[in-house]
Amino acid sequence: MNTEPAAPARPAFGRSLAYTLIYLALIAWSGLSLFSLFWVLFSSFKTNRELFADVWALPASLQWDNYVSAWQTTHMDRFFLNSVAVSAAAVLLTAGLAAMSSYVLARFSFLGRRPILVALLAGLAIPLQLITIPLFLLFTRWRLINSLPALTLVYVAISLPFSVFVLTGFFRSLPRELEEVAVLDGANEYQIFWQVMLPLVRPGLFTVSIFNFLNIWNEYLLALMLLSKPENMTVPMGLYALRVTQGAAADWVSMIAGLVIVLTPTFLFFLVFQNRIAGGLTAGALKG
Amino acid sequence: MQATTSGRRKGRSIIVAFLAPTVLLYLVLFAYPSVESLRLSLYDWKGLNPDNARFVGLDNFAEAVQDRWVAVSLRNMALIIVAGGALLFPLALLFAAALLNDRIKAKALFRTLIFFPYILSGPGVGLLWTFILNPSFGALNGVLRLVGLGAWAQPWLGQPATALGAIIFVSIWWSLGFYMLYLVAGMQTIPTEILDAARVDGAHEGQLFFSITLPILRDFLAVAVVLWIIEGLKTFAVVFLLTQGGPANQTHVLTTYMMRMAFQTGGAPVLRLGYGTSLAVILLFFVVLAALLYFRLSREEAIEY
Repeated sequence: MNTEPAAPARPAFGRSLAYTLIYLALIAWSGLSLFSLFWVLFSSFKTNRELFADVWALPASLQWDNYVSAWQTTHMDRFFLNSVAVSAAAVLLTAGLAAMSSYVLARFSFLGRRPILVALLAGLAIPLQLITIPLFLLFTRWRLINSLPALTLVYVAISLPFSVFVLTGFFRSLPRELEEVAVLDGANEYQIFWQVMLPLVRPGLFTVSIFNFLNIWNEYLLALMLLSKPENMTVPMGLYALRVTQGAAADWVSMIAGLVIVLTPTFLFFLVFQNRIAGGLTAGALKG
Repeated sequence: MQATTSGRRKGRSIIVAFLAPTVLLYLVLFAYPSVESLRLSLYDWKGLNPDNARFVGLDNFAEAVQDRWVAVSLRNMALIIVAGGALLFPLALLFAAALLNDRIKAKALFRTLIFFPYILSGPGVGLLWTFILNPSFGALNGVLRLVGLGAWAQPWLGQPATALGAIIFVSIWWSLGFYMLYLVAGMQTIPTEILDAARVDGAHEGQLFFSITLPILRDFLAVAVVLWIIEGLKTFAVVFLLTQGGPANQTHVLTTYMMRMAFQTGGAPVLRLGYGTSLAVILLFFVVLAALLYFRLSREEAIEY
């Protein structure tokens, strides 16, 4: 698409002015993000005195102690362990359940198929705020407050609508002949699913899982309601805890270091999966 | 093999075996709480004890209509959606067009830097900006003092107007990359032959954008606007982390005010679970309206019943 116009309708000066303005906007916006991160990073290595003395001065020497104290005083290691366990279990379980149910919903005909599909997809429109209070009461009644396995199952439930939405689309696109050939080869229903159909939707499953992981890793509203003990908290709640305690505590640089610790894994995840995340966006992305 | 006219196969044990776990989990942990919240919204319920729940019909909704802070919350949500959108969409369009323009260099870098905030958690984004906007050591006041505009330095989150401005800006900063990439995907559906033909006829890039790209992009843009409306309605983390609805309750949105009523986030315990739920139902009403609009506008007929 790079063909020079035969007769430029505008003088070269006007055009380069326009491009300069576009560049300026691009640089201003991305520069803002870059400098925010950079500022947070170098502030996290300052002493509290340095932080208040001059916002833009570099730290005289790197205060690694900030990271040590952020890590230790806030149970950060527990937060990470909890988040990794809950996210990994929820993502894998969702992938399995959504693949199985989407396969059946997309390729079989049976009574109740349509109502089930509609009910599942209706979940796409339901804001999480709606279910927080009933879930809180349910968990209180069943004494499941602070149970990470129970929270994991909630995460699976809220991830199902989006996963089924995407995966039914993938399963529906597969040609009918594949199943017919497999049947002729003597495969039973379960073998057709495992050996023929599932491998073909692997890209869809992968994309869905990346989104589910990001959503679950970042989830805090339900975690805030359904967990109360510090040792059970997940990373985003840990951040909220930082926000709450920071009013009382004077140790700002450790808070900033805590933020850096929390943002780093997400950022690395993003750099690794950037293209797939961007590519999967048009399949529909959700943010709580 | 039994094949139906729709091309789908018929009853096997696999249907029950593969569907039951999903349906069960979804029913108990998502569908039931959703329906239960509709029932709860009809009760006056203070504290956790179910014995204190009293059926009051639509009283909660009648109260919400007259609740001053509900009105303030709705006003703030409208501001986030409208004022935020007015800033967000021109920028997203401009950046999307730039990312598809051959004369712009370092596209991958720009794309990465503009998109990455989208994948950060709400509390992460909120905490980052509470640091940047901190009156004493924050980067923003630091910049203002550095360039001799120290008089403009102020407690950004401590005054209703600037706090609301900060909430709107941070919401945009968080989401802009998503809308940019969505519009990039939309622009890529435009056949290059059309653009090339217009270029040969002497049209410059600006004319191409306004007379070809934008009209074709209309459907994509409509869907993007609805998605932004839904996101604006659900705004929670940014407000919760930046201001918690303050100062003086002036920056609440429905989600934060609901949490405030139902639980106790900041201030004395309230624990009005019934009233809080009715606010969530009001939120649901708006989100469902927007979602219906979304499915209406969504060009891809992705759902085939």
